[in-house]
Amino acid sequence: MTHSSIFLPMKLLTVFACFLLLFVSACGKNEKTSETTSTTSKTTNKEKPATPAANTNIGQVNVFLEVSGSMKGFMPTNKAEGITEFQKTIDPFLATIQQSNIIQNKGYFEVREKPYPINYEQLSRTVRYGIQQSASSTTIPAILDSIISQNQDGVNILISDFIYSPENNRAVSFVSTDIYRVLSKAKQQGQAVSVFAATSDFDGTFYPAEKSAQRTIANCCDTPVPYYVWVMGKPELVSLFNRELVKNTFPEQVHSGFTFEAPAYSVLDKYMPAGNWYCVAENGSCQAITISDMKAPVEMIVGANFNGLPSAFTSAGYLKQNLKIQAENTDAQITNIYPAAQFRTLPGVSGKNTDPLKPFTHFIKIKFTKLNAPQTEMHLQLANQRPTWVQQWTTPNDSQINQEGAKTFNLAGIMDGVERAFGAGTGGNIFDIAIGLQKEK
Amino acid sequence: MLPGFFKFIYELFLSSPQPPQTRPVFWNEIFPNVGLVNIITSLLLMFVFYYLINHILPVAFFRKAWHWALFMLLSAVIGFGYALQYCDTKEVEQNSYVWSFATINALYGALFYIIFSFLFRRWSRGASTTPVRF
Repeated sequence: MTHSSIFLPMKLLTVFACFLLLFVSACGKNEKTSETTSTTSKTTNKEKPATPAANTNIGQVNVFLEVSGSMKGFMPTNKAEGITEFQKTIDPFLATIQQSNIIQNKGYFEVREKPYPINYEQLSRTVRYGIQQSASSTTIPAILDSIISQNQDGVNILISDFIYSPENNRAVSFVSTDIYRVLSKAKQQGQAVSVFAATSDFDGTFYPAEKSAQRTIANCCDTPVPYYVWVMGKPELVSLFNRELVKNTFPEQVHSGFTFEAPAYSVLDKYMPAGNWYCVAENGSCQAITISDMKAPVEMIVGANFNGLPSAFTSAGYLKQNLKIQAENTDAQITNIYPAAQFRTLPGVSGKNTDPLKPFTHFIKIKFTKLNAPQTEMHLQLANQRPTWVQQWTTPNDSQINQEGAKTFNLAGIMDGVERAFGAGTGGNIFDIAIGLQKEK
Repeated sequence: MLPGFFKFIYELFLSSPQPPQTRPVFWNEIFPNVGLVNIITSLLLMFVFYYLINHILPVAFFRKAWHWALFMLLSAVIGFGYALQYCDTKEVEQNSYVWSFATINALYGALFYIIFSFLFRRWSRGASTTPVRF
């Protein structure tokens, strides 16, 4: 009796304890499962924006070479001496495409009145030894139209002089509209366009678009003639193609229809700081600062990684003109932009540990002397402006090309059409990155 | 709480960290860590003097006031050296602020040692009246 009376509460207690344990463990399990699901959902979320960057190959690349009479000067059959710049550049460029292992399938076409499929050897022969039978000219919008309609999931490359010569000569004036109409279709398909431009010596008959003075200019030209390589396709594939295969092959470029990922950036408080401020550090990068007081002007360095942007946007000249700072309630301005190599040689930098500089390609020096609000945001924006070369390379009349120099008839009009189609041009920003400013409380 | 306390005691004698860009690292890392190590070191030295040497071990000749002062000096020196060394590992440049911080830390090292001595000396068998009897 006594035993049982002693043990009964004990037993009850153990039973109770067992229940408690069960409950706790069950709860624990639940928590664990919910944790794992939340982490998986996080990782999937993270992976999503990474997929375009992870694209490392292109399914199909089609190369279209215009072989009309106007292109013959770039690829003459019997040039007096040597080869043209066009041949020097395009032949290795085509070979790079042919040998590239990031492209699964390669197609080559000669554009006559319409594109005709040929193989790499035939195309290479045309480039090297000249156009044997030149085709009658095709209009640029028609070529673009037929190219855009095929191979929408790959990359299409059109090599042409982009001299617009429609059957009805008066249509010349509507080039902008025609290009706009064709490329609007590309825009709807989610495509983007990169235009690369170069000049080459020209040895043959020049066919001006403006036929007022003379229909053809034989034995042209004394000055180089521009030619263009249009790269069209899904933005991420075109970016990949440009980065891996075009690189710096052509001196000039312009891009439409892309959205660029915001570059990685951080305020670097260890290099040439001035004024009373410090970083609000978060996950190793500093994108907000606290200002103790404004007795002295604030100067800081912001490191940014512009590797994801086309090189046209990251040249010293382009950045200087188009990288702008917007910050209400301050008088913030960019006092200097340094490429990485130059920044490392500066007196305030060269003696220091440069490891924190590694992730960045450019360093922007910012200065301000007043802050009129308890807090504000400083925005660094890179405007998407039409490059100056377009304006320099365009001409309203190419009938006297020997006097005009390396210019293309109404190139600006063509680019107007491109910009209208993609809604690019003035106003759009390539990126917009923010740095928080707050006064110390 | 802890960072706030150490920020308070160091900035009693020092200005805000200079250059200003080093403030977060001083406030969040250097002050609390160096301060904590400083307290632990002085507590340890107090323990060694009063309880290891003058309680557990049968050493009778190391309980004079200047023996005690020697340990106080040791606490200060360790405080000074550790502060300098810790700033170095945090890649804070050795400017005048770092030196004055190390000096203040040395003084706190001595102060903590004194405070702990008077708090805990009464239970020591051999040195309950060191450095002075009152």
